[in-house]
Amino acid sequence: MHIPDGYLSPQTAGIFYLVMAPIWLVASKIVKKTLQVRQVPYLAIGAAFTFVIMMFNIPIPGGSTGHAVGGVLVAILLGPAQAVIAITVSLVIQALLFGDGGITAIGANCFNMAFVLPFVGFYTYKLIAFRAAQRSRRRIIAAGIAGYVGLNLAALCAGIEFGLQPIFHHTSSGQALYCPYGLNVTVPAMMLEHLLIFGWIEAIVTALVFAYIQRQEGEFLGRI
Amino acid sequence: MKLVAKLWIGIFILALLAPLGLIIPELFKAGSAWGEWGREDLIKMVGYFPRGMQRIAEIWKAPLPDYAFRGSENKGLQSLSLGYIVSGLIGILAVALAIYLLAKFLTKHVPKTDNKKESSRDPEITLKRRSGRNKFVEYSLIRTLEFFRNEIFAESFSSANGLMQKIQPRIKLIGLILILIIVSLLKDIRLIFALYILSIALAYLSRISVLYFLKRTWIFIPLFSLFIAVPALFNIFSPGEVIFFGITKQGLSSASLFILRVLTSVSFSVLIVLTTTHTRLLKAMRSLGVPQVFVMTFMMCYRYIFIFIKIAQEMYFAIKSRLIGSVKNRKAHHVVAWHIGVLWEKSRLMSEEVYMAMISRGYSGEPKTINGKDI
Repeated sequence: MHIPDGYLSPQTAGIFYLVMAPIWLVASKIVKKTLQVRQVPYLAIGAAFTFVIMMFNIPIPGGSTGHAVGGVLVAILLGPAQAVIAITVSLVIQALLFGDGGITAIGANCFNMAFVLPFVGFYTYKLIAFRAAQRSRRRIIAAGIAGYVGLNLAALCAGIEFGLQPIFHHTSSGQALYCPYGLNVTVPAMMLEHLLIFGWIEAIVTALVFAYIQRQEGEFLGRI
Repeated sequence: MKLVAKLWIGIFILALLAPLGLIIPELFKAGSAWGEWGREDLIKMVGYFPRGMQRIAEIWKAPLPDYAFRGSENKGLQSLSLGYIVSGLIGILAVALAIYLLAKFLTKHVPKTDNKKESSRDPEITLKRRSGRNKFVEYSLIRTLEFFRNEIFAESFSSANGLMQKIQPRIKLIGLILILIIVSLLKDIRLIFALYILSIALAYLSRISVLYFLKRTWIFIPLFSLFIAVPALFNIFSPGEVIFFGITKQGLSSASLFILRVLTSVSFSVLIVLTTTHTRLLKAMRSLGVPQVFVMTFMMCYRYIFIFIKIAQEMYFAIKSRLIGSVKNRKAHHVVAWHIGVLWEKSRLMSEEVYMAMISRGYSGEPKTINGKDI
């Protein structure tokens, strides 16, 4: 889901930077208020954690493996605003130091993975968990569903961003300038693999890790 | 000269001689082979073109009908001969490619005999070669090992004494952003291509091995883009003037523009990443006005990634060294989940320890850094 440079027009990329600017601002204000002076190590470690989760391979039927993003997990464990900052830092490091995801596309990638994913995931979790007890099974299921829904909505956003390119940007003879496919191709392509495979990986990882933490350090979860 | 090379030369000479097959029958005024008459021959012979035959004949339109370019059928023997040679060469290439791919595909599963000798040298190769039930453990180990190897490799380039390494990171960062914007605004494929060549030239001048640079820039993102751009070539997605097999002019130009643009952007980004150490890159961000909190978080995060990957790797080695039988899917999911859970717990504890360590060293919310030479 990391959009590389050249897939989006500079106009689209610019719009997403503009959209993300207030989100980053508000998120860092919230984080500052709740974390005070210990914010820096806490956020850095949250970001490093999201980065490393992607290195954990999960077996999927058929002998293959895939990996989760862990964004919803971070949102549930740290809170959505904290997740925005942690995932943003992780994405910027991936783009700047490892060439994963484009530099002009950081705004769009952050919108999908550092805003839509944690926020949708977090509120889906809150909605389903409602007032269930801290150590209840319902919360585990809620975490799993949140992972699935969050990742799929982020994928849908990426699909729409791709699909809008040929509509807005083409030469007079109909040649696409950026991503060459319209919405009728990009949205089904993105959704199919995420609904069928990646969404489930994210759901399984989110639910199981949540269950583990619930068992081992339930009192920590109660703080958020 | 090797026998295979001689045979190849023989085949190419035959392809060059192929027009003789066109010229000689023409000299004797010979017609088509029996049973291979074309539309015109049949009309001449029976007076009409059978309707059923017509329907079936139109199902497939060959890209090079009668081994000639479209529209050159009536242009005389010279142009026909040229078409013949080109058709022959294309045919040879296509057949060779098909056989090569087929052979590669069919021999993929044959185990290598010198397996044992190699595997004793490099633990990574052992992990890769041994197929099995606990792949997720091995894949994770390989991924973490690769991460370290790539990083160490990249560091060696950034400390080399090349052209790009001498430029201030701040200027490189601004330049990179400008070039990325320019690349995404350009619409002329030749200009983008010129920029791409420039990126390779800069890599060469920065003492980065060009082969490594091409590998690093082509693998994954541009290759993946190439993959997804292929359907865009055809008239299903890009309606327009058909040149070849349903490939349209519009499709071809938008697909190539797209891939070249992605490739050029990736190349410049990789070039900057390879020639700048991460600390200097982050300092450049700071001097460009990125808030201190962000830059500090980046710096610390980058350090912790190494620590956490080391921890993750050790945990996987611990499992690997205790595993005898296989782990079933369900159990494997739990194993991964425990890992992530334990990592989370370790990160949380570390965050508190780091915080206390910072406080004890006089951290008061406003970090102070020892400035480097170029900031």
